[in-house]
Amino acid sequence: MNEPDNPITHALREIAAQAGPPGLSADAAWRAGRRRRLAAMAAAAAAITAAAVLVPLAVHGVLGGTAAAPTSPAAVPGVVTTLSETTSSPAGTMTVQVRFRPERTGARLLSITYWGRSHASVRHPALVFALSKPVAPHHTALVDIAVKLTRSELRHFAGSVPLRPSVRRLPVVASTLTAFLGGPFGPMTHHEHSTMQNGKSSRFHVLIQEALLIIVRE
Amino acid sequence: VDERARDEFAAFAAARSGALIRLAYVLTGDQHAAEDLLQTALAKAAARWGRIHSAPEAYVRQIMYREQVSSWRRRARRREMTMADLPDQAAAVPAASEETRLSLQAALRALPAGKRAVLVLRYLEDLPEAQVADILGCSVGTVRSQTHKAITELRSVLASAGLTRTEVGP
Repeated sequence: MNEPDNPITHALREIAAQAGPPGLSADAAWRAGRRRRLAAMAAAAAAITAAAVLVPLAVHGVLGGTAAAPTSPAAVPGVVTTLSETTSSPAGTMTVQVRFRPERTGARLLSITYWGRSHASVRHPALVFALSKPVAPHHTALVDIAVKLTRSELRHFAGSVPLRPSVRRLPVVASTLTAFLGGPFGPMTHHEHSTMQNGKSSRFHVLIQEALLIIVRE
Repeated sequence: VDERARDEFAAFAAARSGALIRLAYVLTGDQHAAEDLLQTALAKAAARWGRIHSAPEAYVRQIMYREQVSSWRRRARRREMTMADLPDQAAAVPAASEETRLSLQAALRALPAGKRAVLVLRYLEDLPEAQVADILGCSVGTVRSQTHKAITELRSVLASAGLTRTEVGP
């Protein structure tokens, strides 16, 4: 390609020859790489969380106790609506507050905030969506989406989930389908369901009203 | 498994760090910056070591090229730019070819990281334009234009030093 006596090639080789010995530690690089890998995994979990909170839904937090009656104001298009849910259990209480704004094309989730003192703590929560039953494209039946929060340790918790309102796609784990949110935001139905697996996980179960989900193939 | 991967990584670093530091030095023009660049590249490679099934050196080199270009862009945005020291001039007036050689080295060191990386890949590593584009993550057209601009800059520097412009470039 280049003639071997090209002056640029010569000059680059001479510069390279001026390099001193590499004063580096392979062990330090390995440890730095391990930290980088762990950070990437945490970032991926956070990204899942950010995508997950876009569901315009009523979240029903259950920690193995009896849930209080939810406040469920009527969803008026354009008006910010807040749903609060407090759940009590022998371990403590947890409140989940969901703010959303119904829009003509669906509903935009504004925030999900949770706080309380319970066995469950949510630090870097991993939210996993799973359709409770097979859904054909444009199927209009009720679709149950389980949002599973995996807790990391037993401490009191308080926090909020960051939002990316511009994202309107929800990846469905273990499926080739992607859910688009569309249609009017109808009255919501709360669906109580919970599992407490040795105090290690809590589950939010939500029920989305008919015609809120349109499933399309990728 | 992790211990074995760690040993493999350590063996690779010990065997190839000499060649890699020379590449890092050509790209950065500074020993400390070269060591930082190599350390960063090795850390990134270590993070994916289990998934690098072949040619780890090519992988590390690609990281170094891209890291150097992107870090230079970051520094440029912050208006902080590390310029390599110019080589010391000999006490005696050098011969014309020697003067050209030193001026060319200085001009290469002063090039922006992107253009310097393109020249290193084209002239030192002797890679075709398509492969250069693949390594840098840009188009072949960008490689061509960057090469052209870099050589033009080198010629300009040499011309301003009173040296003939025909001594540089293909």
